[in-house]
Amino acid sequence: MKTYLIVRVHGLRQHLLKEDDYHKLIRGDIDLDNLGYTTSIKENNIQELIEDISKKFIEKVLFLEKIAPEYSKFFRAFLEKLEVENIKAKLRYMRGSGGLEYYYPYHYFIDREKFLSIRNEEELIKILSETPLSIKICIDHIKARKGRISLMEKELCLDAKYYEYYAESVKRYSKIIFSAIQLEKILTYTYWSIMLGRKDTEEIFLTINPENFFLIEMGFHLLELKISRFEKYLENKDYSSLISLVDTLYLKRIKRLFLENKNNLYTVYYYLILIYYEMKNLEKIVLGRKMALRPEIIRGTLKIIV
Amino acid sequence: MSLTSTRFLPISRGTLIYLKNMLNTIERGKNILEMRREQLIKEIFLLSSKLKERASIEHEYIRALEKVARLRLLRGEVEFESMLSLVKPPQIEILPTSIQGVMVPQARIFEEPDLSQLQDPEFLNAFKDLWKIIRILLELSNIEIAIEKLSEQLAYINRVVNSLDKSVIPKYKELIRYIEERIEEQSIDEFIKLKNIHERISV
Repeated sequence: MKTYLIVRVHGLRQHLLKEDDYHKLIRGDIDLDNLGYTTSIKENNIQELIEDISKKFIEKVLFLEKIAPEYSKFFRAFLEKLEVENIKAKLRYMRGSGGLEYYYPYHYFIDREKFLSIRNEEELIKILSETPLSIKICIDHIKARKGRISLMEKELCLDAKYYEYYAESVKRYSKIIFSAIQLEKILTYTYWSIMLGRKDTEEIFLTINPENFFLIEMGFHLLELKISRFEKYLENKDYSSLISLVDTLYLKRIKRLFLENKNNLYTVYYYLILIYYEMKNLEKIVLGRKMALRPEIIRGTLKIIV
Repeated sequence: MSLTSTRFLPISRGTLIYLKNMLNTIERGKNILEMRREQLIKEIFLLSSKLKERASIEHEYIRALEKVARLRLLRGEVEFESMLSLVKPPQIEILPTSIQGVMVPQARIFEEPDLSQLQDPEFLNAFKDLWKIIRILLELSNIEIAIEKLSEQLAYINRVVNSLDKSVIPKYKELIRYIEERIEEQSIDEFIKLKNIHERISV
């Protein structure tokens, strides 16, 4: 099934949206329903549109799972990105002033009804401890050291734990995908270094997995990004340039890896990344058009992998 | 007393004195209204000068909104909505306030937005910038509504002064002139009557 999966993925890649499709969508020359979606930017509200886009993305991944069920764990771990986003959002809603809660339509480890009924953090952490995304040890460790834990630190624990689960899901099948996931981890590491500082970020990553000490270093090496250069950006508080730099290096690297590994499982990983970025781009276009933003602003936020 | 009611007044010196007093009161009232009109114009000019910054503030407001919109695009709807839930919105009340004796509704910030739960520096900066501009816009909108209400009052005073100037005062003056003439005629009549009686008695 592996060969069939790779062949199918090469075929499916041809159906991805092209740069021109994005531009047409931004200009309003075409609508989502012209691209195989069931909703329309003109007629549906933001929530309906994003739900439709996310569902389509989930369907695409689950289709691959159906083709090759032996890699189900990897596909589910990839989709888990959405559930992690939902859990982080839930943590914020529970701290916040209430109101309507909005999530991605993907619930795998925690059933949707159960997830929506959770009313406090302790309950959520307890439920999470029964899944591979358990962050109880990490939280206890920070609490023991600092006496308290902030919301952002909890979110970082969850992100770090997710990457462990994600990398573990594929470690057995493909070393290249495992390395690519370490690169993805650097994106998250960069984001959290900006938010919480490098020291705290590193500490949480190491609490989750002591091997991260080497894995993060390996990620930097693969990206050809020197840690001293990374630190300089942080010192100068040039955050947007740093994020843009790491993003560019990441996309360049995964594309290069794809060109070198066109006939193995890495192609599947690359396709998953492409459809993930496609979903995010469509979400940006939908939001941008609904907010009547200028096309150049929307275009500036898109990440188009050619 | 309306002007039509003077039609039924008897033509007498008492009526004349009464009408002259009325005219005097009306003219004094008109002068007071003119003074108030000047006061309101001064206040409107003073407030208008504060609105000069509006264009630049609006430009900053659009920039702040674009910053928030860009963040919404970059972070996605799920993250944006959940981040928003961490912000306790401001409490703004509309209170009637007296400006130059005119009741003007004014928006007052009862409670600032609570951003303490928001730790993400990008969201925090974007929301702080937006609130800073909204505060200024709120002040500007207070000034605008004050100008609107003062202008309404000014227009009303103008109507009253014009009506006094062009209609009420000339009519009173005309009436007083008419009554003066009639009294003069009556007194001449009286004089001739008395003269005739005197002549008859002497004959």
